[in-house]
Amino acid sequence: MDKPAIEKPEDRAILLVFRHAPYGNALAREGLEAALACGAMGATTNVLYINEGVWQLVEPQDSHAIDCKNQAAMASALPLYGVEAIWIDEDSLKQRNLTSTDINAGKIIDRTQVQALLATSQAILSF
Amino acid sequence: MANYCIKSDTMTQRGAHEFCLQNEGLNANSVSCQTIFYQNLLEYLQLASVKLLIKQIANPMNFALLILGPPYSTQASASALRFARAALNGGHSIYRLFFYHDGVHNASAMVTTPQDESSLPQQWSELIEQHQLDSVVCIAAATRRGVLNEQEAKRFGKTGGNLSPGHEVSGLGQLVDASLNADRVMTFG
Repeated sequence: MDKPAIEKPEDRAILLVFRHAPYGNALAREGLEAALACGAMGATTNVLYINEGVWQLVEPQDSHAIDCKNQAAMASALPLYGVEAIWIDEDSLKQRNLTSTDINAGKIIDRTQVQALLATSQAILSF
Repeated sequence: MANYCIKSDTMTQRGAHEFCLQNEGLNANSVSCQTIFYQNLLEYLQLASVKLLIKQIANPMNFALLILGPPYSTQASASALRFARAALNGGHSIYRLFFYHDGVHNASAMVTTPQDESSLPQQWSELIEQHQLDSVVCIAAATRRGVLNEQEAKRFGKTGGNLSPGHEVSGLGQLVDASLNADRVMTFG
């Protein structure tokens, strides 16, 4: 029996989950580069900042002293690459005593919405 | 004796045979299990004059693996390798392996392990060779970490390439393509 045909690529959404702090590890930077590549190729792309990942969007941040590119500034390029769907886990912000005024982009969503996002994404890349 | 009809494009011969043996509770030395390979299962059924006991995978999936973990330091790469083997042996297929972040070190031919320890890069190369897998190493991540093929090594004036056999270097577009076309993407790292 033949396998069912693969869904048309244009119907599929890619979700990139950012779970790590912006510095100390290249995951944040390379994850963001993957998100920019998804956007550049015209794929429907969602990004979710959760757990330590929410620190990536904190503004102001200055990484000059550790000779790293500013992660929040790099993330602000997402819409330029067609990635408009930027989601932030509300609980992760609360746990870190952060509020919407501390971050520079994205829409804050609650745990139920996070679950729905994970459940409905066909491809999930976790960084 | 049980006969199995296996679609040859979803499974390599070895994976299929191991699957049949496991289903029959046989070990690899047993000869009482015969595996039949045929390109088109439906066509084969129409032509077959013998009644076959057919075992099929309920939900064959086409996986893409994103490997972020390096060899040795963490278990991520070893888990990815075991997942790949289990998926192939279970009748699933692998659309692409994509090595990114520290995972690019799995494609370094310079990794050398003590005799009593297994070498993950070597095992990856063997799995890729055995199942003819598509394996891509992110060129930007690999170049930064000193994993270069001959061509890149020459381009950057380095003494020699160190990319393990079976891999090719390419861009993040290959990860996007895999995300769009595989049934599932599994991240290890």
